Amino acid sequence: MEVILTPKDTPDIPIEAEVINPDIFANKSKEEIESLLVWQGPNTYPISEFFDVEISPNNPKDVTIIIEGDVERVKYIGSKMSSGKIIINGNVGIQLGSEMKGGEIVVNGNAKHWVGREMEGGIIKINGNAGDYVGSAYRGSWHGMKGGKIIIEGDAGNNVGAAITGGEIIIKGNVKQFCGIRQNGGFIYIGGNAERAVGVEMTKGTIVVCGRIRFFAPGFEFDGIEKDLNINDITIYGEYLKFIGDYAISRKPKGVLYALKEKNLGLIEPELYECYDDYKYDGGIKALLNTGSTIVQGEIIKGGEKFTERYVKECAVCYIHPNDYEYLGKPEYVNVISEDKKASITLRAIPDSSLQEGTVFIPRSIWANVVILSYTESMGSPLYKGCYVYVEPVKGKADILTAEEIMKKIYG
Amino acid sequence: MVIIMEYIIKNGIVYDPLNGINGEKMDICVKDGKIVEKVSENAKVIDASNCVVMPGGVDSHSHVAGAKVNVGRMFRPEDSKKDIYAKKGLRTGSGFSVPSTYKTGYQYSEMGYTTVIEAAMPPLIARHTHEEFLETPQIDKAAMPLFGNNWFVFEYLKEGDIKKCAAYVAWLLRATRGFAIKIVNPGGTEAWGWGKNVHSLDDPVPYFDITPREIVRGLCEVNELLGLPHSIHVHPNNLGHPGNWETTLETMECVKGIKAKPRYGERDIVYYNTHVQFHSYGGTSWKDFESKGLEIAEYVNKNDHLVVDVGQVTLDETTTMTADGPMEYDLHMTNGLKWANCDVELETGSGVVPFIYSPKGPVYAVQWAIGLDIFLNIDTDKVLLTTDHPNAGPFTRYPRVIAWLMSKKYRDEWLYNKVHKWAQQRSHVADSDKEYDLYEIAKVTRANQARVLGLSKEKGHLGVGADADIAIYEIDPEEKDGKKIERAFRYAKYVLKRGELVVKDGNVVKEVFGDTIYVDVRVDESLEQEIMKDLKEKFTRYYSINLENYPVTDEYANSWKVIKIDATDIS
Repeated sequence: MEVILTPKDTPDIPIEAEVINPDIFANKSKEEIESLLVWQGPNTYPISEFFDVEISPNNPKDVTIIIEGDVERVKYIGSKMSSGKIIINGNVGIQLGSEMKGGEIVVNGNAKHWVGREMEGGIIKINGNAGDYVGSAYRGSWHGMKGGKIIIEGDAGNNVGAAITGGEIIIKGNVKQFCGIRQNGGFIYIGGNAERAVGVEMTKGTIVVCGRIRFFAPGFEFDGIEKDLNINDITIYGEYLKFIGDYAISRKPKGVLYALKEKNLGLIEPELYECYDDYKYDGGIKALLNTGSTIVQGEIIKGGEKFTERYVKECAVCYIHPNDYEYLGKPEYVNVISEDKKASITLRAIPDSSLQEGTVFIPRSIWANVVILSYTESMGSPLYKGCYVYVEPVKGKADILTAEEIMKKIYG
Repeated sequence: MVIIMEYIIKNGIVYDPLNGINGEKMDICVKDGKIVEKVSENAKVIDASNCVVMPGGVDSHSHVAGAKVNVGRMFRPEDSKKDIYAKKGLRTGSGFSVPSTYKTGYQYSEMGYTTVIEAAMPPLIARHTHEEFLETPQIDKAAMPLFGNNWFVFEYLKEGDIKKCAAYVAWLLRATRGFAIKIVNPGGTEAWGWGKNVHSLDDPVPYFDITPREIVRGLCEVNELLGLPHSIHVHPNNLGHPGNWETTLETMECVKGIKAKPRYGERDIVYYNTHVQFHSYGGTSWKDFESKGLEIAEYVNKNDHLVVDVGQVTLDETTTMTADGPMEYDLHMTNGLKWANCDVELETGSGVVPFIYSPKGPVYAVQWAIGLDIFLNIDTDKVLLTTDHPNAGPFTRYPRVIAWLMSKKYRDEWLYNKVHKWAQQRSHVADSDKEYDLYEIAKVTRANQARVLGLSKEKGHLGVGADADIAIYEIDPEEKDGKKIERAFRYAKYVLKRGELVVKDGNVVKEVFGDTIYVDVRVDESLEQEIMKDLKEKFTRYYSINLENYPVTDEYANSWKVIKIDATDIS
């Protein structure tokens, strides 16, 4: 049986459509499918409110669902499915194939977050990019994907494969931060680069990174060089640095992380370490921003002196690694620009050798807030640690805005 | 207009241990929230044929409200997702081991429970506990403030000034609207503030140089001097450590000789050992770990000054939470799961860690068996059914525990087919043929609790004058099918709360809000003034809030039930 769902138009409030599942569609007539209920906010509506349903009823047990168009605001498609096939010709919303047990999902477009969350079996293939939490555990849980396979042709976001205990995740492009965090089994392949703390807190399982690793987690030990890997009957050609970890979380970890040798020599020979290719550009650096409260700042706040010059002096500053500081021309002041380049703030520059190259630190304050984007990973809090900023030198003297001035000038 | 509500519960088989009624077919009359001799012809009839009738359940030790419970809820979204409660006409809720407040109230009610005591309230954060009580329906509740690591208590006891200590306890109970003296790892949590712990009854606490023995005995004397309804409620040192059974016996022994002198209620014991399962461990490590449940039961049987609640492990994935900060750290280091830790200024501390009691784990299997060892060998007048919710398992598993106790067949099914063989080898569960009858179940789930809490005038029985908190279960008294027993106690046929029908066929049909019970003890005024001087000084120097802002005020309850005690003879 083939069911074609054509979206009518983009819903204003996202809908939750876990009923779009071959197991549920099986043996149902067109009318029965049309009357299946989906959630929109606190209400339920028949699926026909949002989709035109066409059906070719031969072979009613073997169901293929084809969605013709973008369903970016439709959540939970194929959630918990165990058989059949879903093809989506367009972009798709969060929780695609979460807790999936079998069958196949193909997306000819991009997918949002939580693709294949805690899946146990089946195949998900995204012929585009995916968001955060691919194959990962639910919030707070330590059991991610157990089985099955996820293939992403493009890039994926943060926390790919968080706490997976089995299965296979193939990302052909780049991944962002914390890929394979708390991994305890399974296999993750990354064709491109892995930013920041890949494999951190892993205790078991395998990760292969064919691009460059940036900001490597400190708990990995080098274990020699291996050539032409064979993992899960897949041969991965090339010379790889083999690391075991994460010793920061376990005394006898069995996590294995391979990094392509030619791109990652800096991981074993620090003097060869280059943070990454595109971080230095003519006139500035693209750096990873961490923010946090300083002790002096805490003392000032508790004393109720947030509107004093002392507070400005403590917080309106940007700490920069000495090498980066030198590259910027040892400026007294820098402009820090948000990743989307829509906001910027001028701060006093301070070289600080306790930082990693390519990272900057700004005390968590109104000045830092200016350049932190609203992206929250749907956590309710922006990324105060680990977002990107551009840092450019200011020639000569500059004015530092006070807290009041920021409120007036920037937030109007 | 006052609506007079009358009920007559007909043809039920009644189990009411406090009145010595053991399975008699009789009618119970209810009027205006109380049990009465007779009702008018207008009374509504509840047909309890084929059912048993018991007083409403009383839980004397459960973590259901307050800061650490909420930490558990917040840092375990995965637990919240596991169990969703959505019923028409009721507030939705979630959480398997740490349910939200409404779900907590509803589920207790479904099980026929009508009174629940929150087991550990950090005094400084009492407001939070009461705020959650405000939103916990169906049950009467009370909270026990923590005293076992409190600087004032340490100093007064060290100086040997038992009267001042008593005046301070009286003040704190009133200020926090607390119910009884709770002691958790006496001295150990304060030591944890110094990165340490105490490991025996005579191990001194850093800086204060007071020992757990002095704390427990001192507070026990204070308790009886004040004549509080409940005895001291103690979680001794070394919880969860192999070989701790000796510390447990020593702590039980250290209060011997102190006489029970409640000025309210009918309590006759001076010592309540909570979740004694966690304190009945033999061996020297987890490798030679074994049950000392029999030894503990034997001590309790021979002595008249104490009762124990069991804290039965239910073999679920749950969330542990306690004011025993160092213990939670040990637990986190053992299982590697996430850990929350908190220090509460001059008073106490706490920790929270998720825990998976897998039936296939040898140690967990023995823990399970230890609880049963105690249940099966102890005098049933001296034992109370708890799971130390949610530490050893969620309260919604009480019916399963009841089933294990009532049916050897069901118990053996678990022992031989579901749990690790260490349970057979390292405990005596296999040897026992004991099966609880419903009279004994009524004792360990309501009557004993009401008596030791000092609430047996109004709760835990069905005599004339008692609160009309009544549970009716559809079960044959001879039932041995574990699943049927479990179902019957999980979903009561009818529940009355204060004379109103609140549960029918296992569903909450009416939302009501019970009382918050607290104890208001008056001591001599000049004595109180003396301790106020000390309080002012400490609050100015050390506390993060002002003394004036400390006490919990009147608006923090739907309705207060005050137990007033005149102890002005203490001066």
